[in-house]
Amino acid sequence: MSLAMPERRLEKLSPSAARHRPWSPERGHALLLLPPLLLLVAFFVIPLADVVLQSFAGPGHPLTQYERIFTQSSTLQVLLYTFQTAATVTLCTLVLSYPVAFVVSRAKGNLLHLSLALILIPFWTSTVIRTYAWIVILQRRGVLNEMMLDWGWIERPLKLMSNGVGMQIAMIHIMLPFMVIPLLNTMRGIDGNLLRAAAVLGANPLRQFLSVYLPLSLPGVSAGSILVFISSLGFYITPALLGGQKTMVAVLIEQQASRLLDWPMASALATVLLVVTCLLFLLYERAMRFAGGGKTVGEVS
Amino acid sequence: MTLHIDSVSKRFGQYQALDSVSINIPKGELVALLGPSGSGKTTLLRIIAGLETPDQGRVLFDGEDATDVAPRYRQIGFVFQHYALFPHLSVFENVAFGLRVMAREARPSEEQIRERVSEILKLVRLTNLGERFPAQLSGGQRQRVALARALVIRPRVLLLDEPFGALDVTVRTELRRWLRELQQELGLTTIFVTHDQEEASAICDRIAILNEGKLLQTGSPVDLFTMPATSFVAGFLGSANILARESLGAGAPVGISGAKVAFRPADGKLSTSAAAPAPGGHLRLSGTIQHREFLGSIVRYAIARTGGEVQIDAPFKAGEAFIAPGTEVAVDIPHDALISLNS
Ligand SMILES: Nc1ncnc2c1ncn2[C@@H]1O[C@H](COP(=O)(O)OP(=O)(O)OP(=O)(O)O)[C@@H](O)[C@H]1O
Ligand SMILES: [Mg+2]
Repeated sequence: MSLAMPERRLEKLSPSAARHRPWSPERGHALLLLPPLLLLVAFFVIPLADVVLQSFAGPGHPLTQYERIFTQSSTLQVLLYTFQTAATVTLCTLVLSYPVAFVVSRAKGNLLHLSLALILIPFWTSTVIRTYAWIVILQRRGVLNEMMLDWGWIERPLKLMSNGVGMQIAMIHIMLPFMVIPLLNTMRGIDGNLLRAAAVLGANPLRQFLSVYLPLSLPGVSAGSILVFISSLGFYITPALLGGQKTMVAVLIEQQASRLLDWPMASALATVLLVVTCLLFLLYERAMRFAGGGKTVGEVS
Repeated sequence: MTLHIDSVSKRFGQYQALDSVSINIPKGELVALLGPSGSGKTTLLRIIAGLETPDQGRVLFDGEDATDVAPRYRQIGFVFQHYALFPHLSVFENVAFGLRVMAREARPSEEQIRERVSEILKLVRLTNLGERFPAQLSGGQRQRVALARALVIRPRVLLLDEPFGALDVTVRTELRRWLRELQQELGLTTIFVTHDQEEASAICDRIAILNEGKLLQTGSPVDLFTMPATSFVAGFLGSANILARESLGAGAPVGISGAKVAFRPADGKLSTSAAAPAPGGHLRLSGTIQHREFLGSIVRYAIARTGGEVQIDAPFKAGEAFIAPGTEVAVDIPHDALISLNS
């Protein structure tokens, strides 16, 4: 109240002061959103709408392409494999990232900066380069196989490239920062005194983790997982270079569009991917709101 | 249970957070740990709870060395500075936590847990709020949940880290009385951290004053108020005028030994007739009124004099005029109100 007083007096003194309000999205400043909006509409929304429309355009009745997708076992298998891969990658990334994020969230000073750099530098390196690096490591006569042969661990080189294992390894590596960063965010917000409180109340370290830390880190787990899962569903470069005989849906779309020139089919596949992604995201939003809602119900009543 | 803290020291890097602190607390006593921010109060509580290991010294429960016992075996009730309630658990589950995590042999049945939690919730007067989450509670209610959670495990010692720090004055005064009654009813050995000297004096059996990691003095509130050993204690418990002994000049009474002398603002008597001689057994200081604050039942005058400013509280009587700034005044302090200080 007392703070607002001088401001009001100022408005009376000079007429221009009354018009000079602080920034707010409602008061015309929304105009600032216009340039990015135009860009997005022209180069994203319109082409996307075009893709969706094309998926209904081919010969036959409008849903022909979708009928093909969901009746041909080859496309169904690609979709299934894509989901399986995304799930595996998400799970492995989570398992690998959780301890890393935990340690980094406790770090201070130089150790914190160093570990953040170690997480972020690969993140800024091109996916293509990292995929090629994995090819060098994983191919039939690659670094890994040569090493294991030398040490006598294996007798024949392992096949890592043609069966999708290599692709999954590379994808997990590429996705790690997408999991670590949301986890780190959540974990840094967890009050250390909560664990101390649990310890004083008699909880052993496992109980402290299961009953206090894990539930409080779940928002980070779900944010990271949804990010990695959705990114993996549409992943193109790594599956294309490292996938071998196994095809992910993004690779299939590319084949349909540029090799078979079957644009309606490519569009329909892309639309399916888009719809699934949107559904997953909605589901995630609902889940988060539900989880958060439990705590706010009483405030309303 | 009796609690002995035996010359405990703790260092964080270069910083000496605790420097050879020793206190003995008999069973059922409520001790206030009083000190400014950063003086090591929380660190000491954490060492007692086992959340921090001392570099030196021991913590004994009932004479038994507990220095190396893990926190979860110590059976201590700890109320954290900002409550540290589990945000994802309801009030009921927060309180039940300490029972649910007990080893299987000792763990009460679900029914017993319900009973004990309800009993404790009744004790802290939160019977109807069991289903709520911490975010839906007021500060005072959170405070009581934290206390209930600490009490439900039947602790041997209760450690309260600024339990009323974030609450407003009326709630504080109400809660502290209630806490005192509860503590006496349960006969719990308790350490109560605060940096509010009034709160400490109001409810505690004894006060321990901590500054920069050192325990300066322990004693009953009355002893500390009337016989502070150092100028820090004198200034921290109530306000005090602290003067170097030599600044008193020839008027210094015999029997004052320390390097400094203190007296309470209320003990000085102001008179404007500086010509009259000082009454017998009084120390006279003279100066001019510098500043005046009206504080309701008293008027606080700041008096400038060579050798340092002093503050004097004069009782306020309606209809009486204030002494104007610039007036020459004499301050008479009875000799028995002078406190010698070592430093
Ligand atoms: N884990 C730690 N690492 C480094 N320094 C610490 C650590 N814990 C406490 N300190 C330092 O030790 C000193 C004492 O801290 P402590 O928390 O005990 O103070 P306090 O008396 O509880 O203060 P407050 O009234 O502000 O809560 C502070 O200077 C603090 O910065
Ligand atoms: Mg503290």
